[in-house]
Amino acid sequence: MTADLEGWLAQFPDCVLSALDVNGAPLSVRCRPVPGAHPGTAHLDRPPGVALVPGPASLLCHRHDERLWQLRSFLARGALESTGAGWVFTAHSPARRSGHGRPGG
Amino acid sequence: MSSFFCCELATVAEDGTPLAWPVVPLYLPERGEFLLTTTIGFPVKALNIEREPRVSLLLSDATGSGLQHPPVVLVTGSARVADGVQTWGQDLGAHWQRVAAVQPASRRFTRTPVMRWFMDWYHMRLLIYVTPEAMQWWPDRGMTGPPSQATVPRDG
Repeated sequence: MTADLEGWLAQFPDCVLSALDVNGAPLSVRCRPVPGAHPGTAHLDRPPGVALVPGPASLLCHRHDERLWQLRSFLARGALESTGAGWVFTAHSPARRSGHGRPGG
Repeated sequence: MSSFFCCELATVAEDGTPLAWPVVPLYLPERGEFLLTTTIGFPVKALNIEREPRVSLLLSDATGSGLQHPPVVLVTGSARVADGVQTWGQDLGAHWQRVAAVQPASRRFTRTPVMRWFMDWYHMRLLIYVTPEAMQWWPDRGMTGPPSQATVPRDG
């Protein structure tokens, strides 16, 4: 179910992690995931200055060309756990394309 | 910020999961708001905002902008969805002008009567306005250094 997370992440140089802050508001940061030891997991650096909390989270990867075309994206829902220095994201749902990948969408 | 073709809009889904979508932002400086739109075919982000208006916009992919050393900007604030489905209007017209400018190939959706008929759902839009409350920015996409930050003053 989650084994495809590694395959998707390998297609992008980095991704957008979305999680909640201490007040329950959504925040996103860009980070470089490193596949974890277990399928469907990824290690993420903890960006300075952003206080995310463990819990529900998602990973979005997307890219486009210089004219906002050749769009490609995927979204994985899951959960974020703190490891002290960083985070571990565990995918709970299959990685799949987000929306129809059209930024105007 | 107007150099970025798209940004990532984060909302909170019904099950509590924060989700982000790439969207085309248009900053309206006279109102201090960002305008985003979504087709009625993909209304989830608007439905999420109706339940939880707190959102964030991450401007982190400057592909196509021409910026040599683009920063990463995180905007947090509140969003509202305008009443009704819109097919035209001043703000929606400004949105389509922006889309046509940054995504020229999208004109194929309106080039012929057949395409306009086939893609009519795509042009039925919900308008989303984001009022920034705070901003943080990092000097590069790696977000490795400490951010600078600012709070957006409220009128009145």
